[in-house]
Amino acid sequence: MIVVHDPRGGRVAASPTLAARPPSLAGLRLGILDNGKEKADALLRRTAELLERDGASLTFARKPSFSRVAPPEAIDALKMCDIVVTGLGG
Amino acid sequence: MRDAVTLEALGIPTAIIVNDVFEPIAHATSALLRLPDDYVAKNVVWLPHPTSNLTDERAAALIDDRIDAIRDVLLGRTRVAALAPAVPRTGAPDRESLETARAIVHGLAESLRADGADLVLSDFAEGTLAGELRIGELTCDDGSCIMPTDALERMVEAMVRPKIASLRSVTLREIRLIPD
Repeated sequence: MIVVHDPRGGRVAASPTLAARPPSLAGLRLGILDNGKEKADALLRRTAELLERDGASLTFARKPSFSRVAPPEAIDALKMCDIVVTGLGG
Repeated sequence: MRDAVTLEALGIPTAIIVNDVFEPIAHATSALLRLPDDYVAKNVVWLPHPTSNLTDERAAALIDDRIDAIRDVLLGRTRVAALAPAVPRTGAPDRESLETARAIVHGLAESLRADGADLVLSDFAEGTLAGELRIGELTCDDGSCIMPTDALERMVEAMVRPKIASLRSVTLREIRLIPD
């Protein structure tokens, strides 16, 4: 008898949990995660400026490399935030 | 997108702003991470590519146009049709220009291969030259023997543009090759 094995492996990741959304931005702590690409700072600065007008206060973090996930210290800096905007560039 | 998912898992609603040229990668990453089918549609706000050559004023204007969409993501409001990628790609691939570009960067790719990396150009359409910087086992420990991807994009652009006037931008994906 020939046994054929499925080579694809059996690891199945759980679907990530997405956060509940707040009813408004007023009084929330806003985090900005800049991936360091060219012009990301200008685009995200303007985003922060406009969202601060909604009453959000600002924390800013920057990735050392856009091609890698954010280092633990960047995530730690954003943990205190209620909402985050991240990006961008190219 | 992985950072956004990390933050979402910590209970922090996260909006992602991305250049529309990366839409296929966004969908592929979403599928890989087993995110809901509508994750990209609901959480990504697109900007027309490229953005690296924008003036600060133009960058601000682009965000001004999209700030309501960013608010919608953060508040979980229903998205509007205007949030689709700003410039859908409709142009046909330009094979001849792609081959020309490959010939121009041949020597550069060879020097990268000597350091354990490679430059592979795969597409030229609507003025955008696309490819990959493949990073394998480098001859240096700290990665300093190869230039950063964005610097390489600029170098390729400077090399190719004199021969291909229609070139608008170069986009390279950085790919880390896992050793066998």
